[in-house]
Amino acid sequence: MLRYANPTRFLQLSSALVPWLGAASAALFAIGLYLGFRVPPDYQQGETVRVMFIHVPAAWTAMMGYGLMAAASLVGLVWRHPLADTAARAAAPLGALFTALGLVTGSLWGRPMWGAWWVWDGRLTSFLLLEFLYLGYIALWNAIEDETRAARVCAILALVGAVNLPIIEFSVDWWTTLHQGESILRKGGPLISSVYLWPLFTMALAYTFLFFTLWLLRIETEILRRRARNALLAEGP
Amino acid sequence: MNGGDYGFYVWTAYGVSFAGLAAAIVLTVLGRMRAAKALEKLK
Amino acid sequence: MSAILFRDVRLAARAGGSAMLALAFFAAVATLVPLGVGADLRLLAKIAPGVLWVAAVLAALLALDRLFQADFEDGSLDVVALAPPSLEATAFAKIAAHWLTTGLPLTLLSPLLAVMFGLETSGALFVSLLIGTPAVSAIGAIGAGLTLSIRRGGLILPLIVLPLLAPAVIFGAGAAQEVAGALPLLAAFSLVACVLSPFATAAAVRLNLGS
Repeated sequence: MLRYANPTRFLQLSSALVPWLGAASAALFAIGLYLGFRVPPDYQQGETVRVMFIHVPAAWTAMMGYGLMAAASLVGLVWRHPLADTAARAAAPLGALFTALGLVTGSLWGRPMWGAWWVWDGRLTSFLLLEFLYLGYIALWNAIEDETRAARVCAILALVGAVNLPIIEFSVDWWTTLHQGESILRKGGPLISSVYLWPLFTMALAYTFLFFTLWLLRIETEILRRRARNALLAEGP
Repeated sequence: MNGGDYGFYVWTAYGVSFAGLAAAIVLTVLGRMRAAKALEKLK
Repeated sequence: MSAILFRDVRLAARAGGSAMLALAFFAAVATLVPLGVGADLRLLAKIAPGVLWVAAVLAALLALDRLFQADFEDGSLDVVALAPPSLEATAFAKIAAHWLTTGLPLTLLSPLLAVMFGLETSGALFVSLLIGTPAVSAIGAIGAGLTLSIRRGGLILPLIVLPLLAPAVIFGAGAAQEVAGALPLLAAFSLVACVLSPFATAAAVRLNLGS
């Protein structure tokens, strides 16, 4: 693991991985979309069940993104490694985007189901708070000029957020009344019909692969930018 | 599929999602290419 | 540690200090709400716990960006970071001072505002604010530490602190409405926040001192 903490090694590994990850993601998207539009409409939800295939993966990826950001922040704080700082920073805008997509699709899913564009449902509300956490992280990073300091300070924020997120989720669940329930991961088997599981998991994998592809590309970009800056500094004004 | 009564919501959700993902892909790849080019120029 | 506590409390408590400002802000926000939603006392009594909790959180955030600022600018934080009472202890003292000069006065004022909102009994609101506002000070202090070196950090501070305070508002307003189980959850959240915050706050301050 630490072998790849060297930026040059990381670039080699990442450049080798990115085409495969990207291709796998594209293929999974194609299969997932095909499966998603082939399944019959749900007897209760009708055609809107198809929104689930993009809503749930976006939401999963958004949470995974925060987890990765917090893990990278922890590594950056403990081992003071710039690559981990870069990784944490690169995950934030992606996480914010996937959270936003989860919110928009959730709203579009909810309109026909609940009869309202926005319902203070447990999942939507915690995702709105997650989006604010991402935006606060990005704003804090942009406000601090010194890059190393920004990385460390934001790492603390990411970790505080990571500790608080389960509490937020719990409190929102506690508060809400219209909560749908985690129907996929519920004990005693999934509640949703199994015909919908294949497109759902395929799309979830496609979203996850896309997230990693973009994440690696953004880390590469940051490494190259840093090199260009260092080269400029070495040349002198 | 014609989407029945709810087609609008389904198509909009897919449209917004893919527009967002496409924008992220384009911006990320462009940024990566620009950074590589800038470094190339310095060398 | 107690020296810092007493000095901060004294500074905040003088006329025109941050304690007065927070109280005035709290009362002003609470006055605007009936102007916005109408004077129906039944409606006001219904929304009072939530509205007063949100107003209290906003009022407590008001003075937060100054929590470490003065000591940071005159260099005394650098000295404190080196001296024996550790930065963690100092952070705890600052949180305590902030609560004594904002959370506590807001709690003491709340029964009066509760009467104006038509709440028959304000005991639950009072207790929920008394137990919950330390969490606001504690989590707010983390935000103050993080934004310490930013010019106009006061603008970013609410954005990073408010989402973290969602559980306090949920459990606090719940306890104020005497929802079963809300008060123990609020107390637990407050306790955990007060125990963990000094460490996160001290780490943030240390980074911004550049040591």
